[in-house]
Amino acid sequence: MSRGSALTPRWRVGYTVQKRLARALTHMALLAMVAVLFVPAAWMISTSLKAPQEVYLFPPKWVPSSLRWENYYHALTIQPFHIYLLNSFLIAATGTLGRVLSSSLVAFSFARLRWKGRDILFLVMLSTLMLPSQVTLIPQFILFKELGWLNTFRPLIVPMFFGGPFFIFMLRQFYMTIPSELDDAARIDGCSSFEVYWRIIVPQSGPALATVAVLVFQGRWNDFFDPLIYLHERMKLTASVGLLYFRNEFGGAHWPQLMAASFVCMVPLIVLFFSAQRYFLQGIVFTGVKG
Amino acid sequence: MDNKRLTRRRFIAIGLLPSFGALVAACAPRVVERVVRETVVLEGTAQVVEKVVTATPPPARPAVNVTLTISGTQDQAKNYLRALEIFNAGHPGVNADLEHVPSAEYGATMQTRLAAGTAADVFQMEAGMWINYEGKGVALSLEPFIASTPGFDKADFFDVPREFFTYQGELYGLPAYGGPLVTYYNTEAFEEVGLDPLPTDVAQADDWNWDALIAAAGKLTKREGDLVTRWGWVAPHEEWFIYIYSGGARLLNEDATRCLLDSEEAIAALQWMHDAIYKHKVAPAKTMVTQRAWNLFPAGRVGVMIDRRWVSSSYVRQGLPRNWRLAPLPKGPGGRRSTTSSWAFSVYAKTKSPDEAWILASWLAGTEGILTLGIEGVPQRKSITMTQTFLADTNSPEENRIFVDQMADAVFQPAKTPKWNQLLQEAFNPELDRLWADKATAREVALAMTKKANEILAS
Amino acid sequence: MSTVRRLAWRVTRWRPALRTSGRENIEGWLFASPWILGFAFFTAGPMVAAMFLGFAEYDLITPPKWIGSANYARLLRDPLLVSSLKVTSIYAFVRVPLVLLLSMVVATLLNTKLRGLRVYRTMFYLPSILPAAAVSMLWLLVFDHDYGFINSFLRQLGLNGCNWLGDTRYALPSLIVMSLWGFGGSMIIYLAGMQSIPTEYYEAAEVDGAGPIQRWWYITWPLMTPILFYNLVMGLIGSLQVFTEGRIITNGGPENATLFFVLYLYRNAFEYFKLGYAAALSWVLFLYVLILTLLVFRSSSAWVYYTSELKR
Repeated sequence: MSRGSALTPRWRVGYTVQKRLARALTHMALLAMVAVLFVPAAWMISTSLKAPQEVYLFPPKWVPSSLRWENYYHALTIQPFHIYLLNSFLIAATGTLGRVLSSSLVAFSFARLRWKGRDILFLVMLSTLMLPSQVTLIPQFILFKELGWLNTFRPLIVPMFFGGPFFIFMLRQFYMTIPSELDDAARIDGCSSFEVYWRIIVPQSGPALATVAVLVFQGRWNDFFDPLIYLHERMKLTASVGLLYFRNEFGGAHWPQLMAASFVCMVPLIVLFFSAQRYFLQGIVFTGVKG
Repeated sequence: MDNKRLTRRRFIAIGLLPSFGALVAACAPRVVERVVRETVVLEGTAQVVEKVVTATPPPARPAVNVTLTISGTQDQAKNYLRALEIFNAGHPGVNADLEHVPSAEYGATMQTRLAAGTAADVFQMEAGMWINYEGKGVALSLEPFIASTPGFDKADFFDVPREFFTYQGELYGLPAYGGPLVTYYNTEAFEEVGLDPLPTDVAQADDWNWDALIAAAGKLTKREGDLVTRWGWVAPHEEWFIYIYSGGARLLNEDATRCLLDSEEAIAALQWMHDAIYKHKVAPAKTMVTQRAWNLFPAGRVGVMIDRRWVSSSYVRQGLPRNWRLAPLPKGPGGRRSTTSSWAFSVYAKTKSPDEAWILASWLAGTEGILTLGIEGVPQRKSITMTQTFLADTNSPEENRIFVDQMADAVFQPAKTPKWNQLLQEAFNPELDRLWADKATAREVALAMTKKANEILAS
Repeated sequence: MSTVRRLAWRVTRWRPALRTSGRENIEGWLFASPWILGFAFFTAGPMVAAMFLGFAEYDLITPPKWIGSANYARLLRDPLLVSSLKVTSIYAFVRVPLVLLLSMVVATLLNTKLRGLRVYRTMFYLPSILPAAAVSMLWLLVFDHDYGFINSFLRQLGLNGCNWLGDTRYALPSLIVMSLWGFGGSMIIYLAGMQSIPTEYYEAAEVDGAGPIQRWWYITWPLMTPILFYNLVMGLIGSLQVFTEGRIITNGGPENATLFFVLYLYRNAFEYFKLGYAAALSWVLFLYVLILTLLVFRSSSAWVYYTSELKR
C-alpha cells in the first residue's frame, strides 16, 4: 500500500494472483484516465508542430503533414524568451523559498502553539482569501507605487516572504496529523519551540513541504497578471506574460507558435514535479525520531 | 527602532492613500507654454533670462526620456522598436522608450495605471477607454501643440475617428489605425461551386447585396450527412451591428441616450439574420465565442466572412496561402454601411515632458511614423491611404481601396457613452443569444433589447 | 471584540485558551509574525480601501465620491446579482464534491507500488499546469459543436452531440467538466498526506488480517480527513471566485448562463467603470463565502480526525 511495503518481506509472500489481477485492473483504470486527461496536452504538442492553416482542419489532424520544428525556433526568438524564462525562474524560485519558509513557521504557530488571539487571527487569515482580488487590485497597486516598487521584481517577491494563507492553512492541517506526543516528549527533554519545529515537525513533513514548494512554484511560474501590471520594461517581463503576446487584440493568434512557447513553459514544471516526487516518497520513518 | 516607526507611519499613509489616490490622479490639462530659464551670454556677462517656450524643445539639452505604451503582439512590438530607433536618431533632444502590453489585458492594465496616476508619457488610447476617460483629465488637449506645429492638418484624419476623439472642440488623441469591415471570400470554394468572383469596385457592386449573399452562401454550404463541413457564411453574430445600419436602422440616437432598435427596419434586419440561420440554413446557429470566423476561414471551413483589414495582414504574415479575395460589404435595404473603430496616440496629462511627448505622438501618428510602423488595419489619415505604400500593402490596390471607400459613411463604434459595454453585455448579447438559438422572434428580441438598453441609459 | 471571539470559538468549536503561559504566548506571536506583518503591510490597507469604495462612486479616475449606502441599496434590486450568485453556487456545489472524490480516488490508486508510478503521477498532474494563454483554444476544440473531439467521438458511436458551450442547458456543466481536468492540484495534496501516514499503521493492520479496503477505511480515511477538510474549504473559496473560464471561453453567455459572480464584478469594475459597485458586490461574496466556510468549520469536529488535538 505504501512505500514501506517493499522493505517488508511479508508483502512479497502475499503476492498472489488476486493481487496481480488488482494491479492489472489499476493499470487499466489509470491508463484510461490518462488517455482522456492527455487530450488537451497532446493537441497542444501536435498544434505546435503544424502549419497555421492546418490548425482548424476538419477532420482534425493529429499528426501534421510535415513537422515544423521551426515553430519552436520562431516562437522563442521573436521575443527575448530566454530572458523571460530566466526572470520567471528568478521570481518563482525566490518566491518559493520565501513562501515555504515563512508559511511553515506560521503554520507551526497555528497548529502547535497556544497564544492569545490565535483563533481569531486564523479566521482573519482565511478571510483574506475570500475577498475577490479584483477590488483590491487598484489599492494594492497604489501601495506598491508609493513604496517605489513599480517596475521591479519586489512586488512579486517580497510579499512571498510573509507567508501565504493558502499554504499556511495546508501545512497547519498536515502538522496536526503529526502526533503531539512527539513534541511533548521533546519538550520534556528540554527542547525549545524552535527545536520542536526544526527537529520534529520539519523532518516529519517532507511530502507536505515538497508539495507546497511544487504548488507555489507552479503558481508563481504561471501567474501572468502580477508581472503584467507591476513590470513595465520589456526586458523584465516573465515567460507567462510572453505567452500572452501571441494573441492579438481580436482574439486570434499564431496558434502553432503559441502552443510551442506554451509547451516550453511547461517543461520546467514537469521536470520539477517529476523530480520532487523523490521527496514525496521519503515519507515518515517513525522509529527514526527518538522521543 | 527608528526604521520601524518610519515604516509604520508610512504604512498608515499608505492605508489612507487608496481612497485619495484617485484625487491625485485627476489633473487639470496642462498649458503648453512653459517658462524656461536660460543662461545667455549678453555682452560678456552671463545672465539668466526667462522666456516662454512652446512646442519645440530648446536644442542642445541632454535628451529627454519619454516612454510609450502600446498593446499588441511581438511582431507589432518589433515594428515599434524599429520605428523608435529611427525616431530617436532623427530627434536628438528626445529619447523614446517602449513599454508593451499584451492586447488581452491592455484595458485592465492601463486602467490600473491611470487610476494610480502612473502611465507612460504617450500611450495608445483605445476607443473603449476613451468612452470613460473623455472629459476627465487623463489626456492633454492637443490643440495648443497643433496650433504651434506648422503644417499640421487636422482635416487629414478621417472625420469619424477625429470626431470621436474630440471633446468640446478639442482633439485629445491622434487617430492612428482602425477601419471598417469588408467581405472576405474563399476563391477556391467559389470556383468549386461555380460562383463568379465578387466585384471589387464599390460603385459597381450593386448586385452584391443581401439576397446575393444568401444565395451564394447557400451554394457554398457543404454537408456530409447531418454534419456541415463548410458553412457558406459564418454568422451575423460577430458583427450584427452592420446589418442594423445596412438595413437602414440605427442602434442609438445621436447623443447615445436612447436605443432605437425597436424600429421596423431594425426588426427586419434581425429577422433577416435569423432567417440566414434557420430558414436558409447557410450560417451556424452560434459559433463559439472565441473560435471566430477568421480562425476557420484559412482552413476552408467558411465560404464568406465579414471582417476587418488586420485579418488579411495576419494571414499574410503567417504565410497562409492566398486562396481568398476581398469585396465590399453586401448592400442592404439601407445601403452598404459599415462600423469602424480606431485607437489614437494620446499624451498623458501628468507627463513631465509634454513637448517631447507631443513630438513623439505626432511623429508616430504622422506619415513617417505610420509607414515605419507598418500598415495595420487602415491608417486613419486620408493622405496615407492614398499612398502607393498603403495601396500595395498586403492586398491588391483595388482591394485596399475598398477599405477606404467603406470608411466614407461608416458608423463609429463604440458609441460615445461610458455605458456602451454594459449595453452590450447586459442589454444586447443575452437577448441576441435568444435570437441565435431560435427561442424568440426578431420583434420580441428587438423590443426587449430596446427596453433594457433604455433602462441602462436612463440609470 | 469578545463577541467576535466567542463567535469564532462557537463556529470553529475551539475553546478559549484557559491558561496560556507568557512564553508560549510570545513564541506564538513570533512564529506567526511573518504572516501578521505581511497582513498589516500588504493586505489590510487594500482591504480597508475596498471597504470604503463600497460606499463610493468611483469610475477609476475621478476621485471616489461618498454616496453612502446607495451601492448596497442597488444590490437589493439587481437581478444579475441573483442570477450570477446562483450560477456560481451551482458551479461550486457540483464541482467541489466531484474534484474531492476524483482526486481522492486517483490519489489512492497512485499511492500503491506500481510500475511507472512517477510517470502516471506526472500525467495526472499535467492538465493542471497548462498555461492559461493556451487552454481556452484547447477547450474550444474539445467542446466545439461541429468539429470538437467530444462530438466527433459521439458521432462515431452513432450519437448526436450537443452544442456544449452554445446551449444554456449545457454551457455550465461543460465548464464544470472542463475544470475537472485540473484536479491534479488537489490530488497531489492528498498524495502528500497519504505518504505521511506511517507505514507501521498499515503493517500492524496487515498483521491483524485487515484487507486493502479495511486498511483504507480504518487508517487512510481518518488520517486523511484533515487534508480532505482543507481541500473542501479551499475548493469552496476558489470555486466561488471562478472567473477566467467564464471570461475567456464563454464570455458569460449564452444568455448569462455562465455569468459567474466575479465575472459580473469584473465587468462592473473594468468594463462599466463602476468600481464602487464592484466593491459592494465583493462584500456580498465575502459574506457568502465566510458563512459557508464557518459552517464547514463548525461541522468539522464531527468528521475531521486530528491525531494531535489543537491545544486549548
